[in-house]
Formats: sequence, structure tokens, C-alpha cells
Amino acid sequence: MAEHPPIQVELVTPEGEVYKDAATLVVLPGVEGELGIMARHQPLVTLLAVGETRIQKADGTYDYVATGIGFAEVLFDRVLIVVDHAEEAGRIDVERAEVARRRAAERLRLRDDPEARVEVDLYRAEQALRRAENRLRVAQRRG
Amino acid sequence: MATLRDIRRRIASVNNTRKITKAMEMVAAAKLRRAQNRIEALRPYAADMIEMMVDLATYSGETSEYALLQERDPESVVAVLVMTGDRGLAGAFNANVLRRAFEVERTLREDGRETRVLAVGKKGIGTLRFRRCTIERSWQGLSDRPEYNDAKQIADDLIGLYLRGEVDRVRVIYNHFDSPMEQTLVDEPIIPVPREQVTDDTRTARPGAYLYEPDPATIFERLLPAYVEIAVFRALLESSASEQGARMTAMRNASDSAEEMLGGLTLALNRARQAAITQEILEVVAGADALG
Repeated sequence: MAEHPPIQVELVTPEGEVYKDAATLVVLPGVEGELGIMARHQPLVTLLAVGETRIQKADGTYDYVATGIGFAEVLFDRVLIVVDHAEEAGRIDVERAEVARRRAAERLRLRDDPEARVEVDLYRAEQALRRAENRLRVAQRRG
Repeated sequence: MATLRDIRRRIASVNNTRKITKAMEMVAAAKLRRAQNRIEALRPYAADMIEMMVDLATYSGETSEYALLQERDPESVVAVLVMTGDRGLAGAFNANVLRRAFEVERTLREDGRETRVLAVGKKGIGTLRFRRCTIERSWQGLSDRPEYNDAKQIADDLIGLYLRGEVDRVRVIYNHFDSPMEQTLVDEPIIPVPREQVTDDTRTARPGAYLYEPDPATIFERLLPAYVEIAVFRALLESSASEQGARMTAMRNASDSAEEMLGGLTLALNRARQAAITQEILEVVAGADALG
């Protein structure tokens, strides 16, 4: 395999910086599909969807991060990822994510149940469900 | 005159109070440090976000077309988000915010405009209810450790009110953290998003081939709510740090007063004790004299 120049990855959230390291490849969950970014990529700004950000390191292994919505900016040899929440695969609390998923699913179910008479914010519940499912999916990536 | 027993009882009571205020002071100090760290942690995110918006605005043509940037005239209904804490014993922390809120409401009313009140924090909700204020929406249980998700929900509601045309402006009143001893009351407009915050007329479009996915205008529009979220989150964090700072200072003052009081009481106790001993000796001597 040819030697790849490194690309610097920085991931920030409102709670602080989550990830900062050199990588050979970054795969971002863009709103229009996944984007693979390597060093010397054309400058780019993209909106991100809730999903999985994969970061390949120099030794070929991947780091997986569950990321929320936000944007990414690609500069010559740097990727800046700014999202509303992010959790590395190894740090995801699976039990908590499962509880959150069940709660969100339950709320969505109640919404369709005319007997329940509960006011459910559809958008919010869907967002919560998507976030929880995303966390669970990414959590399975841990080695 | 207070008996020895009365004084001892008071000393014990003041001592207990002092222990409590000391403990509260220390807890507040620890929470304050955490809250300050979180304000710091938000900074890079907020800076990157706003930098990106300014950037995109330069590429997005006429920015006044975005709903969240549109100023309305006249502003007949104003929403005020009042941020207090969930707990008291923090000096004038909650009272300051509430006083300003009532002032704002009065000024707007005299101006012939309507106010809608939204409140964060149990203390504010309690006082506003007591004053028979209608609270449009309220949130509690988050002043201790506000999460970004809380800010998101609040921002969502505020944006909804604005976009549905129910209100023409949203202001937020909160305590800004200066130092543990000092908080400044802030009353700032957050919706419509102040244009000068997200645009920069001196900036020209960046040369070079930047790719945008999707187009800059769409990204800009999607990022605008993030400005409101950040503003709300920052206000929540500032308010939370201010609350802990105010409580720490208030409790330190209380501990100091307790200490002072203990000094006075101990002195009174010793005086009373000596007086009693002197009295006893006098009685013994008098008794001996009478026998001799």
C-alpha cells in the first residue's frame, strides 16, 4: 500500500473536543451520502446527518465515532467536524442507549395510539430514536 | 439575663448552622468549577459554528430572506425567557433576574406591547406563578447541569413560536458569570438572530474552489437554528455558573456571620459562667461569715 500523507482530524461538540488525531482516511456521514476524505482533498463544506464517522489511522485500524448533526469542513490537510453530539464507539453506554431507544420507540407508539391521549412531539421523538439507534449501531463496532 | 444553659443551646444551634453553610459553600465551589469548565468547553464549538455561518453568509446572497433573520415591525408580541435556578440560598441571584423580568414586562405593557413569559428554573416559576403571571412554557431540573439537549429543546420551542408568528421577538434574561463574587444581568435578543452576529459585510467571498454539499444557502439555513441553540446553551451554562458562584459567596458570608456570632456568644457564656462562680464564692463566704 502506498504511503498516505496524514490528515488531521478534529471533532468538537458543545461539551468539548471529542477527538483529535492524525489519520489517513476519514469517512463522514454527509446528508447526501458518505464521503471519504483523504489528505489533499479539495476544500469542502458539508452538512452531516446522524451517523457513523470512521477514522482510519496510519496502522490501518479504524476508530468509530457516533456523530449527530452538524457540519464538516475539509481544508488541505485538516478535517474539522462540528456536531451537536459525538461518542466514541468504546465509550458508548449500551444500556443507556437501549433505554433511550425503547423510550423513544414507546413515545412514537403512543402517538399512533388514539386511546393514549399523550401529546408527542413527532420530530423530537424521531430524533431521539435516530440518535439512540445510531449509538447502538456504532457501539457494535468496538473491537 | 440569659442563663448558661440558654447560651449553650444557642452556641450549639449556631454551630450547626455554620456547619451546614460551610458544607454548602464547599459544594457550590466544586459545582462552580465544573460549570466554568463547561463554559470553556463550549467555546471552540461556538467559535467554529459562528465562523462557518459568517463564511456561508458571504456565499449565500441576500441573508435577509431567511425567516430566522427577519426583523419584524412592529414587534407587538415579545417572548421573554427568564432563567433562574432551581434552588434558593444564592443571595440575590434569582431576585435580580425576576426584578428585571417584571420591569421588562411593565415597560413593554406601557408601550402597548404584549409579553409572553417562558421560564427556566423552579424559583422563577414559583415567583412568576405567585405574581399571577401566565407562563407560556417552563423547564426545571436543569439548572444544576444543563445538557445541550435541553438547550436544543428550548431553542426548538422558541424558534417554533417565532416561525408560527406567535411572537415577533425573543429575549433572554439571565445572569452572566463574571467571577464567583460577581454576576452581570444580561438581557439579550436571540430571535431574530442578530444579523451582525452571523454576517460580516467586510468579508468577500473566499477565492478558490470550495465544494458545498448541498449548496451554501441550504447549509446556512440549516445552521441558523444552531445559533439559537448555542445562545440558549451558553445562557444556561452562564446562569448555572452564576448560581453556584452566588451561592458560594452567600454561604461564605453566612459562615462568617455565624463565626462572628459564635465569638460573641462564647464571650457571653464565659462572662455568665464567671459571674456564676463569683456569685457562688460570695455565697460560700457570706455563709461562712454568718456561721463564724
